[in-house]
Amino acid sequence: MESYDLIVVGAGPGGSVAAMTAAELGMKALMLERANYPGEKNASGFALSSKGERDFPFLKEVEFPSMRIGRRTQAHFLSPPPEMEERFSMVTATSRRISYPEGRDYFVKTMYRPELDRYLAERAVRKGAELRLKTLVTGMVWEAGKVCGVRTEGGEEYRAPVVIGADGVMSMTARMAGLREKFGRDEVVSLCTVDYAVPKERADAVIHENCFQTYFAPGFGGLYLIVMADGVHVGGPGVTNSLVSRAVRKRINPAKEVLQMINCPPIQRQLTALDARPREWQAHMLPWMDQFNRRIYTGGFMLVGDAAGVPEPLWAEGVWQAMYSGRLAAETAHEALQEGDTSASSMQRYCDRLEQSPVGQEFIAGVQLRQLFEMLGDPVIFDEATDLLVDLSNNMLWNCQEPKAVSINRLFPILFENLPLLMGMLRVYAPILLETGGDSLRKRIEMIKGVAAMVAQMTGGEVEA
Amino acid sequence: MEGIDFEVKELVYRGEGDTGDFISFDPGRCDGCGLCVKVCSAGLWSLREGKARLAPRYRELCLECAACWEICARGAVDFSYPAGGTGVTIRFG
Repeated sequence: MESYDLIVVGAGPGGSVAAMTAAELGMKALMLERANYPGEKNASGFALSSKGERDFPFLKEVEFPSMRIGRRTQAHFLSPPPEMEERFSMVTATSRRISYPEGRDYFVKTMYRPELDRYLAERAVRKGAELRLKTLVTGMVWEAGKVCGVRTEGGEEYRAPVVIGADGVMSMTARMAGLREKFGRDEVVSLCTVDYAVPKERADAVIHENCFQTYFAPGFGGLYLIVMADGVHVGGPGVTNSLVSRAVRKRINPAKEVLQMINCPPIQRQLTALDARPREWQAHMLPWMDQFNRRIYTGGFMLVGDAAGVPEPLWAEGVWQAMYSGRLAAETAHEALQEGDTSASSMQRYCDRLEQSPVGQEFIAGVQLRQLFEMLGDPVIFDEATDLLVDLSNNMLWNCQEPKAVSINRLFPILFENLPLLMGMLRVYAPILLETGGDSLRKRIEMIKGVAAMVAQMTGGEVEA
Repeated sequence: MEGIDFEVKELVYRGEGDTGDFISFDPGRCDGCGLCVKVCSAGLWSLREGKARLAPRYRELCLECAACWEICARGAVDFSYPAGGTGVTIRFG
């Protein structure tokens, strides 16, 4: 039996950052990873957002062979099956209003997970953490109602006053620690991905920095097309369809849906232009919670990353969240050890801090946001919303079919006809706006009322405040 | 599985070594709802005589996504990880 200050189960981004933070704080940390190498078991279309470099500046120095910078994103709106052709598409650059320089520079950097995961685990080892591969944890060691170590399938026992579970969406440590049997059907999505090999010069010529694209079609949950330096991930179906609870209702098979949508003409044209060759087939689950999960700690134990359910509910981004939660958990473990208190109430500080952090803030209005996605996942509403976008853009000025005076005069009827749809959207958006920025919104409304009163005075009319 | 037009099953890579049994199925708890059949990305579940049935060769074919375990409301399907260092190897995740 060997003793440590901290044991981390799982050497993904959350586990490795927890171990490296602990090592930097002078703790003796052990990472146990069941795979042959870090990143071997991770399937996802992966893009690390600029929040990664903001909060972990050491990432700025890193260049991976598969890395591509995403300064543009593109959303494609398709017609219903069987046609599934492009109807509306928008390429977006980063907003100049984003609050930090990396975020103004780019959205994401795409890369393959084995490269990132290996780098992070090696960095943790360089900082002094110990890493054991091919080691499956099969049990917890308990003492006085607190977790105080783990047992592996080989029968070894490792002891530490704090254990961090960083073992992903189907976390076995969460189960062994009695936090949950498994996530609920409403809390996970099931995703499939095809990885394609692509010549780098083709990807440079065709995609350049527009490497995070999404495709939506009525009745389909949506697909992401993520381009690395020399590879492409096409995966989905998006959150609106692959939520396991929706699979129950709609009886959708995620693999079939993804492969059907990959066959749509616009994606096939992209893949042809990229000279893409199918290379790997992957399936995985992802937490998709609408509320911050507070069942992430008990005495001597904390969950981080996907195991804690932290991925954000629109882009399904989870690596930055995993790293952030891993660091907070290690810092809390360090404090707990210094105070000599690893009880559940001591571990609760981690949960409180995470909930108040930007990771937890993503869950503000989570319930309403999910309603919005589910609404847009409805085939009729999706098609009508696409109609509205197309009608507005074709009639506003972007018109060669008719005199501009004719088409421009259509704008008011278009908006009027779409009032039910717009009101429906507003009904979902308004509570989100009020919950996320209620005070500033109310102040602005007051301001508008003030201006309205002033205008009324100036023009001789009256306005009730 | 119908609807798959290139052989995606051939695009899955596995390490050496015995995974051990990592999915267990308890027919006594199964009510034949068929959701495991619907969510399986590898087409490994089928319905026979009102009960689910897991392909006997699942260890060689499973993608380890655990959706069958996740969706089963009756607790008939249980999932644990394959033995350390075995099972699916994702080279381009």
